[in-house]
Order: sequence, then C-alpha cells, then structure tokens
Amino acid sequence: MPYVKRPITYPTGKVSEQTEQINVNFSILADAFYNSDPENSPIYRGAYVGISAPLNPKVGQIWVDTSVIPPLIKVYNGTSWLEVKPASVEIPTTPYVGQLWLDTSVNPPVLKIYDGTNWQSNVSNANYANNADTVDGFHASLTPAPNVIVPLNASGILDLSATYVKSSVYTFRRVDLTNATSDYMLQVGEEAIIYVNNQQIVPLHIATQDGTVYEMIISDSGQPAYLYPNNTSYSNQFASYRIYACVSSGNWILGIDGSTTLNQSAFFIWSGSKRVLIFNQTSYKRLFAHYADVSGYHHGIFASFWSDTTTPWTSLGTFDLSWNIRGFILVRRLV
Amino acid sequence: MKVWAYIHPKLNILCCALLQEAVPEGVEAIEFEVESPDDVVYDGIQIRLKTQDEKLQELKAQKLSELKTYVAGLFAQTDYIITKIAEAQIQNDTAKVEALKQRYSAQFQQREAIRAWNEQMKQKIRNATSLEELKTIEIRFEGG
Repeated sequence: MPYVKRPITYPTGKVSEQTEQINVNFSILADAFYNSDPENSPIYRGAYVGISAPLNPKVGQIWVDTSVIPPLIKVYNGTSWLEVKPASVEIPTTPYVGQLWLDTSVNPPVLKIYDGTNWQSNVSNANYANNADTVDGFHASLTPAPNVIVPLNASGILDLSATYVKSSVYTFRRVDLTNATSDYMLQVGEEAIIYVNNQQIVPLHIATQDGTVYEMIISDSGQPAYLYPNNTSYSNQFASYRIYACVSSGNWILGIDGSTTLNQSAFFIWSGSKRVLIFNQTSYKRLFAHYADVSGYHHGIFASFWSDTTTPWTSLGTFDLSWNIRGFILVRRLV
Repeated sequence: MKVWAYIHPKLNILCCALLQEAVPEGVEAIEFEVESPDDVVYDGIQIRLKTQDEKLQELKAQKLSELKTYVAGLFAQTDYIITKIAEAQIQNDTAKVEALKQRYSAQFQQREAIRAWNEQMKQKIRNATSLEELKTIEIRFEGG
C-alpha cells in the first residue's frame, strides 16, 4: 500500500501541544521510510527496489535495480549509482573498504580485498607460485627425481628415467635396448624391447644370472634360428624337439621331430611368431615355447635345452633369426 | 658374420663367440667369416672351416631326417586303415579284408603315391651336388 500522510487534527489547549509533538515525531518516522526523507532527520535506509532509481537518493543508499535480470545492486555515492560487484577483474579506481578485486596480472589470478589503503591477499605471490603445483608438499615435474610427482608426458606415457625405478615388485617399466652396446641387467618386472630392422643377427645385450626366469615374445623368425647364450656357440651341447600340427595336402597332420642326441650348438628356435619361457639355472638351462608360423597353418610347441650344468649363463645372448627380419623381441624378467 | 672360435678351457669343446668380448679372458681365439657358427669345426687337430663337401653331407643328412619325419606324419593319417585290415586278417575274415580294400582303395593309392614321392625325394637329396641345390628342395607332398 502506498504511503500517504494523514495529518492529525488536534484540539486546542495543553493536550493539543502534546498531541502536536506526537504528530511531529510520527511525521519524522514516516519520512524515514519515504524515499524523499529529510536530510537531517533520523533515517532508516532500507534497500530501494525498483526498475528506476529513487527520486531523492542519499549518499550510501542502496538500490536494487530490477530493470535487468538478474537484478543489480547499486550504491549512491552522492553523484551517481555505482554497481556493487562481488569482485572486479579490473583494478577499481576508487576502491572502498572490503571491495574485492581479482588480480589477473599474475598467473594464476589472485583474489584481493581492499583494506582502505592497500589491496591485500592471503597468499603472497611468491609462495602461491611456488606451491601451486604441489600435493601434500610434493612438486610435480616431468623430470623424475626423489619426492617428485611425475605426470604423463605429451605422448601420454609415464616416462621414468633409468635412474629412478628399481623395484622388487611387478611394474610396467620398459627399456629400449635396440641400440644398446653393453649388457643391461633387467630387474624383476622390467621388460626390454629390441626392435629388429632388417637384421638376421641380433645381440640382445641383456645380462642374466643364475635363478632368473624370462618371458620372451619374438615377432617372427626364419628357420633354423638360434639363440646363442653368452653370445657363444657351444658345440654339441644342445638338443631340442617339437610337437606340431600343420596342414599338408589339405589335411591336418601331427608331427614330432627334433634332436635325439646333443647335436646342436645353441638353443634351436623354430620359425614364426613365438612366446618363449626361459629358465636360467646354472644346472638347468632351458627354454619352452609355443609358436605359430606366419601362414597360420603351422602351430607347435618346442623345447630346447643346454646340457651343460656348470657353465654360468651370464648374457642372454645373440639371436640368429635365419634371415633378415623386421619386427621386435620383447624380453620380460619374471623372477 | 664374424665369429671367434676357440676351445673352451673347462669344457674342452669348440665354441664360437659371436661378439669378440664374449671370448673368455686369456683364451686364444681364431677369427672366421662364416654364414653360421656351425660352419666352424674342430677336427681334433685344428679349428677350421668345414669344407663344402662336409657341409653338403651334413645338410643332406638333415634333409633326409626331415623327410623321414614328414612322411611318417603323412602315413599316420591313414594308418587306421592298415590296423582295420590287419585285424580282419587275424580273424581270417577274408571277405572283410577284401571289402576294406575296396572301401579304402583311394587311400591305398595315396599311400603308394607317398611312397613313390618319398623315394623320388630321397634320390633328389642324395643326388644334390651343391648347398644351393639342396636348399631349394622343399619337402612338401602335393599329391593325393
């Protein structure tokens, strides 16, 4: 309901003086709730809500401007209406105490508050920048180091240098020994990949020792192929055999062949793609494998053993793949 | 490829190092250019390369062995027929023997073809005069 003054008609005499005083007080109080309230009277400034500014604004008066959605909160500074913003991204020219400013001149931006003299922040820029990349105090970096969090690199790979991963539990660490020039001792859970680029003779450059077990994936080889342990052939110290199934004249046939005596000088490897288990115990050095020829019509299993029980196997050795091959050899140390 | 051949001081056998650094310390090794370490032989007197004829005879033996295994695999596919006929013969059931011979005549012909092919292959391997010729001989029965 709009406010309308209704002056009191009072009688004459002593009572009328008191009544007149009451009337004056009521008028002052009424004006306090009217947007054109007198300047020198007790004033209650409630927020004025409307689609246009109040007619006689006073300094500090608040106007909720409902002409826009969402409404804007404005404050009168004696001359004009200033919009009250939660925080400005530009430094305010005439800041007021408690005003917020998002300082975008630093990266990441810092939220500051005006204390009447200066813009304050609860984080100093130096500390903020220094700690921005930490979790529980540990910094992030692409360069592995003690107490550093290493993210995936630009290729989506967690690339840990050779220096920092040594573990007795299974990991996914891989080393590329394609161009190695000296033997590398794989740790348990480490795997080495050797890319073969049109090569027949492939030194693995993997050091080994008594008590180790490896799994090996060979993308392809010809036949006969050999693994020369310790990069050496040992005359008539090896034997091997296989059980296979293949298609011949349109029929599947089963076959068994191989050595019946120690007549080989290295571990014999049959052709095609292979998965090989290698056991290196000085008194028990052998490998077992499943293989499939590239044609897909020849599958088999084979075993090859080194009869010598005293010579240590210290280097996994060198492959003779029988002819020039493009592919890879993956060696994973299991034990 | 290069190999460094030596007599292993403990095992007293011929070894060929594929990398020079694989030769045990203090051991004298002879360097050879070979196709395979198996090309080197120790004849009891000296370490030397195998002669062409030695290599040829080795490969012939290997091929013949491969052929024997392969042919055995081919026969194995129809060996059950022979077993059936043998059983009928033990039982003096001549009618059944004849019936089986009729029924499996195609398989008998194939077995004969395998035997003939096997003989031809053996002859071809034995008659080969060079490693190149021997390597081109593929052991694969296409008949039947």
